[in-house]
Amino acid sequence: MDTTALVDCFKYLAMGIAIGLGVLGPGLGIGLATKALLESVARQPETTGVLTGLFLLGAALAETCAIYAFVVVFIIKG
Amino acid sequence: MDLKIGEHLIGNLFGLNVHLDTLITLWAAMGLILLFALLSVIKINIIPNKLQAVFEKIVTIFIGLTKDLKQNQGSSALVLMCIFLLIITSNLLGQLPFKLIHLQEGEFASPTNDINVTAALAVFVLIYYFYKGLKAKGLSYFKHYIKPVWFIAPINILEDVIRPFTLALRLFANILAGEIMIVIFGSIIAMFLTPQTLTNIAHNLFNGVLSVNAVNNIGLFLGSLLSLPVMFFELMVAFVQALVFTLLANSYISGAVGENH
Repeated sequence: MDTTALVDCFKYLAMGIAIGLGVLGPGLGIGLATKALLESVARQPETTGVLTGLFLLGAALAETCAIYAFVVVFIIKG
Repeated sequence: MDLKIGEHLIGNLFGLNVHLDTLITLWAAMGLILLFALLSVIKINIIPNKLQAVFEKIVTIFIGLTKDLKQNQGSSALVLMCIFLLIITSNLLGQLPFKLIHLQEGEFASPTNDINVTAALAVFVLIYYFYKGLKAKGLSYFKHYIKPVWFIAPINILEDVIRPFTLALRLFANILAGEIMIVIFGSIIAMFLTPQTLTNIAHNLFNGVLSVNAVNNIGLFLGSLLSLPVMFFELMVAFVQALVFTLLANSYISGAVGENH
């Protein structure tokens, strides 16, 4: 196997690992945020409007970490 | 499917190398905001007409947002409103079908998918909250670096570097990822439409009623519909990211002005 093929091989491996591990944290984070939202709404249904807005904000912040990983994948792809 | 990131149509303007595609879309966004702002103030009434009412509502929202700043509410509110309007207009502008226009290099898209634009906005926010802090507290503004204890100063200084960096990267990456997602979802179908499967579908499924070419075209059309949900999601992302940028800028400014930080 020549060097370029080997480099390509490891590149694809690195891309997979980067997006896989990068999505892990935000996934957990959004899951926890949704759990907290559901619990709060179940307790106080009248706060739904305020909480949904805040939840979307927090989810967007958490999701951004996954998107950093996505960008890194494309940087690796070069 | 070929994805290219960071490629822009480079042109020469007043002796400067600029990204022409970003510049044109950014100026289009600025022009749109200016146009609507001018239209709304061209005839100011006590009883506002529709456009004026919309703009009054937006200003009211941002004044409410900066309530905790105590001093100079108005100026911060207007700066934040300008940032928000510019970002959301540029984000939404990218959702138009610009891909139909072919350029030699790069393509028309949201101006915010160029990191130079978002970095400029983020650096502006950095300078603005430094200015606000210095104006409110004088040179004692820099005392917050050594609070609560002196050896935490490097981390506090690092924070001022990280803040604009994350602000810029968050907006840039979200918009760019959205556009990449649309392209990927639109071209997933191309993986399945190989000549072999096309012949199979045309001859076995449709018994030769439809030609191979027709099957290919119908498949491409149906497959491109896959990116529609992503597009609707991107409309939400465009709004949420503009809001996140504004809220973070607001919290930085109020952190710089506020007493206990």
